[in-house]
Amino acid sequence: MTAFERLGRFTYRRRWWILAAWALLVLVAIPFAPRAPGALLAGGFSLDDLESARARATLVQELGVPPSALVLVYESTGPARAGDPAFEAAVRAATADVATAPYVRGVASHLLAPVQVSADRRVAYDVVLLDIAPDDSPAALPGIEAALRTAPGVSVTLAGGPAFYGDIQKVSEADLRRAELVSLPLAAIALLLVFGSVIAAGVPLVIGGAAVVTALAVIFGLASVTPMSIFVLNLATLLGLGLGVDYSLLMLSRFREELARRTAPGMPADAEAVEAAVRVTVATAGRAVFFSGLTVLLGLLGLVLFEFMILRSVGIAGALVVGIAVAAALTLQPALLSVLGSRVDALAIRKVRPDPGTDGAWSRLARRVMRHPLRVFVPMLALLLVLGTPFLHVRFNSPDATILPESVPSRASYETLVRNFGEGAFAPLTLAVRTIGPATDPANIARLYDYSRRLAADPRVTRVDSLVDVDPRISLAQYQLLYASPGGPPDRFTATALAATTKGDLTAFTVTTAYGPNRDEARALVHDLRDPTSALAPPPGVRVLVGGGAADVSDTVSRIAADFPRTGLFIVITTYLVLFVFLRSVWLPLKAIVMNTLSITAAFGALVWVFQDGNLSRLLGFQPLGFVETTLPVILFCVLFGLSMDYEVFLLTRMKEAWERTGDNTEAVAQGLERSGRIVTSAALIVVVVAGSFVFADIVLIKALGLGVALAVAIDATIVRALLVPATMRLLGKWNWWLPARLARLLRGRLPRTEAELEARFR
Amino acid sequence: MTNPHAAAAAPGRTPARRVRDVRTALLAALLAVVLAACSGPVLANPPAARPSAASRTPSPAAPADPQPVVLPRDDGPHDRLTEWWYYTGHLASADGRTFGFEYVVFRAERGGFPVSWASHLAVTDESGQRFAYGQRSEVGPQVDGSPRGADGAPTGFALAVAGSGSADPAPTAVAAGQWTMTGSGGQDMLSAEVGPAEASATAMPRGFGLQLRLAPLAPPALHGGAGWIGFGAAGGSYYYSRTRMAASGTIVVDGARLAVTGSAWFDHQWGDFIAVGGGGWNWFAINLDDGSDLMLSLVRSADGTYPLVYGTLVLPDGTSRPVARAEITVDVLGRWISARTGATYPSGWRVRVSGAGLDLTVVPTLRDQELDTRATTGVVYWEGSETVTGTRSGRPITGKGYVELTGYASGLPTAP
Repeated sequence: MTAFERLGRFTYRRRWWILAAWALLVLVAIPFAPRAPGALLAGGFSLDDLESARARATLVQELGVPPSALVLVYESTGPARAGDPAFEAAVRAATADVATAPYVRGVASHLLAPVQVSADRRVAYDVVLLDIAPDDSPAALPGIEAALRTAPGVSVTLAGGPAFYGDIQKVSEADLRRAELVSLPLAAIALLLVFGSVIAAGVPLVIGGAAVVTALAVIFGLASVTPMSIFVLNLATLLGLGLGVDYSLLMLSRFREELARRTAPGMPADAEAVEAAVRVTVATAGRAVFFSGLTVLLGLLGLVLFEFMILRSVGIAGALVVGIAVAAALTLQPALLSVLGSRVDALAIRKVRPDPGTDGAWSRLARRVMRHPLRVFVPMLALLLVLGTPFLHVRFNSPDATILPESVPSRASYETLVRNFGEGAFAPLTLAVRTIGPATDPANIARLYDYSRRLAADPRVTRVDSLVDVDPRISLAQYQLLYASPGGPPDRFTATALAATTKGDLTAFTVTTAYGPNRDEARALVHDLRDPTSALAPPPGVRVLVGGGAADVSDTVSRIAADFPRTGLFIVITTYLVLFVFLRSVWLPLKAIVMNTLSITAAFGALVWVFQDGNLSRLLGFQPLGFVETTLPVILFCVLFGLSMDYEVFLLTRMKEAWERTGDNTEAVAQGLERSGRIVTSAALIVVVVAGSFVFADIVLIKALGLGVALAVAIDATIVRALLVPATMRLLGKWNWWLPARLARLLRGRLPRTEAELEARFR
Repeated sequence: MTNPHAAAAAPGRTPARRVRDVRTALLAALLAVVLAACSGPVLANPPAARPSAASRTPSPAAPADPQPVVLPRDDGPHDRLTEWWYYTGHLASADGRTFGFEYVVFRAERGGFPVSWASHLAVTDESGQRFAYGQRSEVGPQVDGSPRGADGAPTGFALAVAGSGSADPAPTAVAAGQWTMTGSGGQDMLSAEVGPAEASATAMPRGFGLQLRLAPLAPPALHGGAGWIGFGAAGGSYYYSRTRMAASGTIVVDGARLAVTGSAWFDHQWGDFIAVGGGGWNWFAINLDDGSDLMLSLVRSADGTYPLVYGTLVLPDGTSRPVARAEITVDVLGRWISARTGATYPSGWRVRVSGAGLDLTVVPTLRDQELDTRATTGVVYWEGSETVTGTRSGRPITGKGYVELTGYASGLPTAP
């Protein structure tokens, strides 16, 4: 008896205990699951060892530069303009208490910085310096929001990192609620159509729901131990609901099939039949669910190999959700089915034949494809590759406020700022500049003065702020005199600049560019600043760490790109091994991996075509980003590799079973497609519905994730499964099933039984 | 040969036809995708508008220094790093009490900062041996209401500082009353008062201040000959003085308003200079009873040496000449240690100007005339009224003076 058979028997015999245990688990989880969003963080796009992060850490730790900042945007709503007493009085009235709010270290007022006032003086902004790490900075928002008062003549809104992060958290929760509201009824309808009965349709929803609630509660617990990204919330729900329902669907379908086989038509099943059906279901479909889950889990575990919090936490949470969904499918579901027995078909709305048979539309389509495999294979391959071609011009970048809709306050404020001050003003490059000996030594001042002038001369640079940039009229000799003064610079402004930028051999340069951090020009500037051979290279004896703005983006993108091959390789190899164990074939796992890659390529192409290039943006309700957020394809790859493999596993399971029964490759493919056709279609449909419901999300990243998953699964369930797989299987012929004899002998008895062997035993 | 499955699935259509249909549909889809990919955006919203890269406007090239000083145009403000309008003077009331005063407005421009203003007011009650000072600062162009001619150039200055006595750009409680300073061609008006609320901690707790009308008694003296003093690497300054102005009006001494008359000395300096010497300076403004006036400036470096010493002698007929360094000898006669700041200041000097036959003893009317203005200009300095005695070519002479000492409060910022 296999482990799965034993599990099946156990779940039947201890069905009430298992149901009670799950009920208890869900009851315990229910109070915690809704608290998960509050425990999740919006950041996670940086690493301590990135140059940009080291620059920031150096400036924060050694110079006491505030780790994060918020922007208060003042917009005139009356006749008064910035600088007018009425406007300034209103601003003072509105913000008087901000300076004493928690985490506030100081406020850089527009009154001291004319650059913080727009040309028409309708808009001005203050920078609230915060004493809290960027990822935690939304915690400062409640205090500041409470400190703000309304004042006639001026509107005060919040912008900047903390507000952006805070809004992401709020919008993520709203997105989730909306997605659930859309996906659950649609999934319920799809399930009703598949099974034809309310009870049967309800079972997968119960399993999926239990998986999600439990997973969210565990994520809440995990988030108190390790930082977890807010994006976990939507992904966990998407995967939990999608896979939970999927797995349950498979199990239920098999159960009905097995129960029908053991029961006379129209008669209720006896206990013996139910037990046998449960046991066989767990041993066969349960086994497939286990291996499918394993492939999804491995894909998600690939994300854990990344050090970025956002990727790692999505990987951890995703693996957790999949694990719980598999556990629910293998324990809760059989226990539930054991209790329900024939009543699973109660409250029927239409008659659905449990056994799909072997000769239907799917098998006919397969045979047709296999008659001219090349004629199908080549155009379909071309189609997927063409769909993937937009990916060739992908531009990777980090998320900014534009991933939020314009109706969200921080995005609207950001747009106001960008309109009035340009996008470069809010993402300057911050350079941690280290000299040999005190930075204020005359020789170092000369080096820094030269360096600053070279930077300022670059056409991409609009402003340089440093200890040698207090005023362009101050000469090098004057700076040298000022900083050589024993009591410090005998000038209040220079002394202020020195105190803010310099300590010992460390000084900070702030380089403002005309370009936002996601613009190519800004990233090219970062590259030049770091290139020792460029005209912007630091002077001899001066070491520079470039951080902030485009440097943050550039470093994140580069590191993810550098780390991705390791993850990709891990996923491909482990998936191959799992499939090899499951299918006992050398070529089939490889073929499955190639097919997977093709559907992912097409999804990636669509992603670029839609979200970067802006196609269908009017339909989907977003503003084109002009780039693809770097973590998105990585998350998608890891999610989709496993998810797509799901259907390959279900499909190949049935094909292999038929192959071992008939020894006829063409027949095996046709029968395999037929027997898995309806269930794979239904499962895919549900994932498409669940994932597709995230297209209604407000956060573009979530929208893209939902669309990406929905598209890839749709492509996988249609073009790949119905056309490419039969064509490829036909072209490969008997090589599909090839396993070197020596290897077969070696593996016999050591590896789990194949589906076909199990089938044969139970028939 | 027909396919029974296909025939069953689609009666009336041959399998071959169906395959062709499927293929045609697929090819059409493929073509549509290719076309869509090649053509413009489909159902696309416009991308987020991003202002194009801001072009940098090059700063207008400033005329090379020095330029001629033209009055009254140059009485007005200049777009320079540093500028000040500086009055000191000696007043007497009808009852014979004598007073000294200092009233100054500083203007500073520094790159990204808005134009910043500071103002100091000090009253020395020489008879009562009391000294009190106050300070103001304000940020922004509103301070400057200077009159301008048709060409936009100023024709004088009109400054009103309303800020509090701190560097806070947005004071929550603006000090009562503006301090104003207006003038053109030497017809100047000064008005500044520190009320009891602000003055409570001073030697004149019921308040102090002045309202004076000034008129020139001599033409302006352009220092350095043409009104330009070069500081070497430290830059340079335009500098002229109205060394002798008739003053009349009211002085407020510890709340008491007294009608006064007397004389005032007006200095106006501006230029792209910040640090003049690393060690501060000693500045002397002496009005002698014979109608001549003397300005001396001794700029110290950090090591205590005097790399720059210059002066101007104004004769009774209003003509002036620069005083060469070689003509000047200044010996310190005493010291005074501030109990507040710990700074040790020279106190009392013997000043000799060989080319003018002057041998003068300059003694403070009050030893403690120290101003701690770190709240507004970031410095601690000493500025006080003096009595002057001595000889000119052996004949006795007396006078009054004002001395400014900067750079003596060690470890603190040293110059405005």
